[in-house]
Amino acid sequence: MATPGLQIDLDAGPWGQPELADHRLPGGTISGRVRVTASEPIECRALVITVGWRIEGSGRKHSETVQGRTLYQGMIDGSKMEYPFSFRLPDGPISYGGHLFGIHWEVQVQLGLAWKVDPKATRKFCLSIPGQH
Amino acid sequence: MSLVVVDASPFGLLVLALLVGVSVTPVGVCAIWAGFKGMSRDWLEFCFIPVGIGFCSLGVVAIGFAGKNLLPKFEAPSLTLSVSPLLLGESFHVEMSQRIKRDADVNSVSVRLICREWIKTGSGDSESVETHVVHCVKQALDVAGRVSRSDTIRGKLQFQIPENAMHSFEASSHRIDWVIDVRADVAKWLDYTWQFKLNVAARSAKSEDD
Repeated sequence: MATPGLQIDLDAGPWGQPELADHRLPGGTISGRVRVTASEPIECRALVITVGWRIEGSGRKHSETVQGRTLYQGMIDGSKMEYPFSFRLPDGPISYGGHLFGIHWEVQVQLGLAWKVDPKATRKFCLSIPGQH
Repeated sequence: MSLVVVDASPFGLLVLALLVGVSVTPVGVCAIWAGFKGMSRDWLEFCFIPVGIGFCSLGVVAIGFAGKNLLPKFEAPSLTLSVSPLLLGESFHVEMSQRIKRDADVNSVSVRLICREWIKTGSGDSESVETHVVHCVKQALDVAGRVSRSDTIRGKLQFQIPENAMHSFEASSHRIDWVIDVRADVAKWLDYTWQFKLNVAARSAKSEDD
């Protein structure tokens, strides 16, 4: 059985410029769709999506999930399926790229499968107001 | 000659007094002890006692002089912010007042707005802290010259949190600290410093709408 494919597509942000496509406002929303592609029917224990941030750089690793939800449970037939999502974002911490560490936001999705390694997909985004970082 | 040290600054004199006090006092104590122990064998050893008392007295006076001069010349400053909590990109005023406890010749009093990254690495015995200053703006108060006991240093300064900076942040091993650092540069003396933590918040979509 081939491993199902996972893809996260984000809806357009509050700004039209292509370079700001992955930017979201603190206190705003992030929405999009999770696309699952499977060449044959699979049993999905849970399609879980989370939004959170993690710290990269020097020092101990740290991450926090601020929102999460199960998008789907059940059979996925051998085709392409889409699951929409929408989350309200907190005011902070905003995305940060510093000298000693950085803070990176991401949407992560995990497809729980029986007797198989769970496929995962991650989509980074920037939580900030244009002009900041 | 040690005169060079004495002339250099009151701080040099302070160090010299501490050295004299710390080295002379034990000599005095030993002499008193030796005097009492040998008194029964030879009356000449009795003379060790007054000599020891003299050394002890000199040492105590020297340590006392150093200790008195270590007393702070300033009270901790009192700061008032015009805005709290602060937002990224926001301007604010800092009003400062600071009472003088002892006469001093002040070269300058400066106030710095500092944004600092702070991280903790390792664990156990190898745990260490590393910091990096991301942003620093320094302003000086209009204070210089002789200040007397019970005088008050006052000043009002304006700062701005940069728009593209990071707000205050705290995780288990990572922090972004915003601080106001007040530094008093006293002539021929060590600098006095005080730090005040600021709370800088992120702008949100709601506050942008307002």
